[in-house]
Amino acid sequence: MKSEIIFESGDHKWIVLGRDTSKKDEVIDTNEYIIVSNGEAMLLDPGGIEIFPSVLAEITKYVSIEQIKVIFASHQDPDISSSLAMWLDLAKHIKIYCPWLWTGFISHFGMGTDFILNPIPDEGLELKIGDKGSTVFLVPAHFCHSPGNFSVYDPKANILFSGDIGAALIPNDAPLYVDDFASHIKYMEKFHLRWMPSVGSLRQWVRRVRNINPNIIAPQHGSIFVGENVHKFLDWLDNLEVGKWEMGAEASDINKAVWMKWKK
Amino acid sequence: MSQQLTKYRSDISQVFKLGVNILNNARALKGISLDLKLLAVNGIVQAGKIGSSQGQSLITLSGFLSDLPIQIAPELEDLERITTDLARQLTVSLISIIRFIFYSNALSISLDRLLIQSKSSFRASDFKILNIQELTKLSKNDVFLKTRDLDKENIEQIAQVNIGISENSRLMLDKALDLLSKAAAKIENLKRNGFIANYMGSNILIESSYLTSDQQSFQALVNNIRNIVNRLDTNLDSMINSIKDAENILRSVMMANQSN
Ligand SMILES: [Fe+2]
Ligand SMILES: [Fe+2]
Repeated sequence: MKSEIIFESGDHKWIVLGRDTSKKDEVIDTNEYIIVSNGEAMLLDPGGIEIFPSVLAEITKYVSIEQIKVIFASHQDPDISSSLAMWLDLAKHIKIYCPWLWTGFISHFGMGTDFILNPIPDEGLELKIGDKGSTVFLVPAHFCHSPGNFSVYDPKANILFSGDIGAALIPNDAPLYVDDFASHIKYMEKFHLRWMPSVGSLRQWVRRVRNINPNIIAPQHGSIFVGENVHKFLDWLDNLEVGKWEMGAEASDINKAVWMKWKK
Repeated sequence: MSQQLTKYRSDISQVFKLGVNILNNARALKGISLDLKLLAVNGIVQAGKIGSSQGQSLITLSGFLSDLPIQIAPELEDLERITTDLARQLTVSLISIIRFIFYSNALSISLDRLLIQSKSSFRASDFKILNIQELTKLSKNDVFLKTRDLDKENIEQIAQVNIGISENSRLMLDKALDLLSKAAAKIENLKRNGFIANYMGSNILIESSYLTSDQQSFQALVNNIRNIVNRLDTNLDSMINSIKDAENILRSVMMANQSN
């Protein structure tokens, strides 16, 4: 697993982890982010249980486990939430935040531990990293991917963590930062067309993010958008017609025959 | 994942599978018990048709036979309860041990990184990271003399969590071992009942050989009894084998965690 500091200013930094070459091929590659602020750390979308050992081993290069105060889960998917109980079992002082909509569901990943989840209300939350760290904002992103979904904005670094919005299924040797936006689209398009259900919610999220005006948008999969590419990305999203799925006429007919058979 | 972790993981999965086998076999016994009951009733009916004193002794023998399933029933219920508890206990232990394995794997990756960094010739596989004693002194090992405090703290923390899980797992596996030996005791009782059924069958065969008619139907009855007892024995033997295998693996797993 690789890791790199993507922002550093005084006692405040962002580290990205990812491109885990030791994981099984069928496990989707994920980015994990750590914000270290005044010696206290927040982990964003910590990755699934399969890659938990690699993520933990990589994180310990930068912070002590004791320094991790908060873990944020943007939504319920297993590539985020299946490892949460392992983190909490490792350090019981950690506070895990996830959308209120999913607390009951994510609790199924408790693995026999004392698994306490802090619900994020629909309208979002201001969250302080530990006692001494700075404050970040959990920005609503519902129905942009999951019906209970949040982004994280860190004003000090001017970075927005966007979860699965901006996710791209990239080859292993793709650059950490998007360099040519036009050629990056092919890695994102299918993901967004299939995993994003609502045009209206997406447009609202884009408007929200334009107001925030971050310098970096950091997604959970794929490369990171910086500067000009942030705007190109938001423009692209604004023109994307997501949430549409139609079965081809031929497949529809075949299935109709199957359904009729089931009915008998 | 390192070799020792892979072996540990496959051992635990194996015990889990054995637990499920034992439970399934215990449930299948109910069907066998019912078959035996039907046969015994059949024997009484047949014996009743014979008017002579020989008919009376066959009725008595078949009566003994029909009592057997009634005696077996509570034993079977106990066995099913014990094996259900066992499967549950093994599942809970398995989940806890899976956590142990994930932490061990993280520890192993971290140790390798630090050892490579410090140009040591040792690797994580040279440490018995499954072992409580080794985990206790891991971060204080001389090879980590020049390692940063941050790294030593993190190793210490992961090791401590695993010591906790390991101690807890030991209690859970002790309970599993206890349930395994309880199941084995019940199985011995059931085997004894199977032996008695066979013995009754032989007596029925002897008594019916004096009959001038109906010999064949009693012969068929006894054959059926023997078939059922054979099925019972096969099932019980398979359970005994699974129990022995599970006990052996559990003891070696516990040994890996505890021994020096
Ligand atoms: Fe997702
Ligand atoms: Fe994802």
